[in-house]
Amino acid sequence: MVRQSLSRIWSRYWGIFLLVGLWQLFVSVNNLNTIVAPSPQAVVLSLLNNADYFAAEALRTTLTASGGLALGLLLGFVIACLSWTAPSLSGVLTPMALLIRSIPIVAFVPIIVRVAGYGTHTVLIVTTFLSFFPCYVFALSGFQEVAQVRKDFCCSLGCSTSGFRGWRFFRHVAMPSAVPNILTALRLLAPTALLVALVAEFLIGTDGLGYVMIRARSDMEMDKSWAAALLASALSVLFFVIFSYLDKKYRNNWQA
Amino acid sequence: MMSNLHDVIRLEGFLSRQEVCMEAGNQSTSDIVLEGVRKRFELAKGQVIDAVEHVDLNIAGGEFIALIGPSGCGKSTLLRMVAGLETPSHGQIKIAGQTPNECIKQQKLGIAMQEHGLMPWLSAWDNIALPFRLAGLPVDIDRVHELLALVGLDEFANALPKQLSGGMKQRVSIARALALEPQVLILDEPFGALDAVTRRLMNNELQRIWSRKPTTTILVTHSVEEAVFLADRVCLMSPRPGRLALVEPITLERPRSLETMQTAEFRNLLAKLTAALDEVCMSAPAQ
Amino acid sequence: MYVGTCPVNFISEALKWVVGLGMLFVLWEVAGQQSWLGKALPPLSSIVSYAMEPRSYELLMRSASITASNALYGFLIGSIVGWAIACSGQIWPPMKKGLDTLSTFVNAIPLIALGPLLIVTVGEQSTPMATAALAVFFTVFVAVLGGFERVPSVHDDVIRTYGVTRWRALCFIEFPNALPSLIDGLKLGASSAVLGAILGEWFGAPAGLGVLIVSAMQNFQINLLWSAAFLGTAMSGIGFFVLALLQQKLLPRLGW
Ligand SMILES: Nc1ncnc2c1ncn2[C@@H]1O[C@H](COP(=O)(O)OP(=O)(O)OP(=O)(O)O)[C@@H](O)[C@H]1O
Ligand SMILES: [Mg+2]
Repeated sequence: MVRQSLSRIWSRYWGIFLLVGLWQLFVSVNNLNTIVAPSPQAVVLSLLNNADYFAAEALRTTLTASGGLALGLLLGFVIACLSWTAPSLSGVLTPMALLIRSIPIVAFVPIIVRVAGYGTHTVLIVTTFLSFFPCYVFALSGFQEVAQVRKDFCCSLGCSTSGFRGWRFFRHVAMPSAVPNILTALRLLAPTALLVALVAEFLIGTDGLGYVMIRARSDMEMDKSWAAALLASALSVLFFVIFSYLDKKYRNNWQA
Repeated sequence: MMSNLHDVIRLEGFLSRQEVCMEAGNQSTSDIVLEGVRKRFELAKGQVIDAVEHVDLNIAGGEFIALIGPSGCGKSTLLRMVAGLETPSHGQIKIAGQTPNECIKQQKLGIAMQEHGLMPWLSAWDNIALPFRLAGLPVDIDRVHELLALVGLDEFANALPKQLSGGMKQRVSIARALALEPQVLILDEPFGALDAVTRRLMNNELQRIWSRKPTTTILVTHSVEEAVFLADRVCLMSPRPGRLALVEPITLERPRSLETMQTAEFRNLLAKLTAALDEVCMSAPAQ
Repeated sequence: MYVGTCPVNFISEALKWVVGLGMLFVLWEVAGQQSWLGKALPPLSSIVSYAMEPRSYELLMRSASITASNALYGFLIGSIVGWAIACSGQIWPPMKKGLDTLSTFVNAIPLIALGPLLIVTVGEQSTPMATAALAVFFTVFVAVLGGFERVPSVHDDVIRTYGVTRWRALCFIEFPNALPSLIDGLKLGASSAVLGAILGEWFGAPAGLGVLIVSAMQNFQINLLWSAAFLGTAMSGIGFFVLALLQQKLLPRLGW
């Protein structure tokens, strides 16, 4: 029984163990100082010793990232609703969304910083901006992908299926049918939102995990810097896992 | 005394929709008139397809019509025109003197298609309540429960469509079509995806539902047996461009049952219509 | 007169883009002239004329070529490794589950959290290339795995009934099937590579667009900041375009 579950864990997580093993090996073989590259234990110790501090910073980053994600989602959703009623809006916005997909936005956080100024609100703006377009695209395509049978059914009840007069159709049919799409957008965006928040903090912030990463490095506290990086990764994975779970759970209910 | 009370209640608008309909008697069903109906689809590059060519048909109020014919002969197209989902290229369709579009605005139609088209995120109950919501009417809770009971699914009120079997989904779909007490019921191969046994059971159900409140019904089906079992008249369409090749009245006594299907009369009708169907299929021009 | 469906669609599609972008540019110019967003958003014309000055032109080009070569090498390394590892899971199935977990976890790790690790392991000079490679690796790996998953089960049956070896199945059935999604992944990888290179340059690289962007941000050289950002965008745009062209020309020839 125990052996079985152990081997199950191994077959699933060997990659992670391998990474940690390699890390340890790298540090011991090269006989590196903690100031150059801390070992796994040193990092975990640092995390445990400064648990309060790290928890506070992690919370800050999480709040910024999820706040930006929520705002971007709201904005994307509202504008997608408007686009649904006025298709010409989507004619202009959709190409822009596609264009933005091929731009390395995260690398341009400095510009937004310059425009919006240093501070947490900028981090929020960047995350919002980045989440906006994918949420918009996914939501709109969800609204538009209502199957023909369902549209026919609504038509046969004298319910308009487009424009302002179709708001009942929108509320009861188009909007609910976009839920899986929106969940997918969230799942894909969650790690990105965190990355953007970290990058912004790294460049300009006065707090948050991204800031700890760079601050501790300039203070020669490598274990702390790595601990922040590790914590950030763990958070990101957690974000991903949570949203994947939600996605899976609800997607099931959307299959007839 | 009793009738006095009734009048008072009616005057004050206290009677439910259904009761008013029952009082009004014949008004709850509508006759359908198709006059020289044609449908031509424009494909790309100026190509056209004549899906339906010249159909004349008078359907009496409360009549059950079954439409059969080879695949692609325009049955669904004809049905979609009656339901106001397509407009005829020529001719006109009148339902109780109104155009289909006027009818759907007043929620006089109920449709159920081969694909059930239920909303997967809504429970059976909510799916049946959906027509009320889409039409902007208050949900008549009793009516929804009554319909669920009518199709024998009262225990599954909270089940999502994915938790129901194919036949159950179709029953929900039919209940949904009946929700607003339509005067015309339009069914496009509602049982097409079911196995033969379930299908026969569903036919029985449909007959039971229909005979409780005879509504003008048009049913498209591929099964001649189903058509003869259910219909007052069976219309046979010829291959594209579709027109009516044969209209056969079915005078079998109602209610019809499994025994009815064993009678000579039934078998004769079945044989006759099957032969006619084979004939129009054979005479089809090469496509 | 030729009025096929395709060219008309193409023209209206192109028109949408032109209108959308044109509106954006005009809006930008006006916003810059009227300084709606303060000094941080200069008019387009001033950015262009700045970038064309000989001194700044030379600086921009030098930095861009460094970043481009980092991104290109990163792209090559990342896509080859990503592809190879995804295939190895296919050849040796017991590895597959672990690879999936590893990939989702590694995919969720914010790129910027890997900076501290990379400067120790590969050095500050090569960090941009490594981050670019990592960014591309994730995209390609996920895309190829997705492609393998989409192999029709009919083909799976063919593999089993004919007793084809894993290796041959990979070469002749699974890989050809995964080709479109590989190219899709590469397309997205173009912007990931530029992003990775710029991000990597923030960790103490001597020169490159990333270095330029950060120093321009800190020294309030707005025109320089915008020009650098434009160059980065153009770079990923060109990559995207080239790969899209490849997708259109090559895939039909291979029977897709
Ligand atoms: N929207 C449309 N545009 C163009 N052609 C159409 C359209 N809808 C139907 N047709 C064509 O009209 C013809 C009749 O189609 P229809 O769906 O009415 O056939 P059907 O009798 O219902 O067939 P089946 O029994 O297979 O359902 C077909 O040749 C079809 O190709
Ligand atoms: Mg049909």
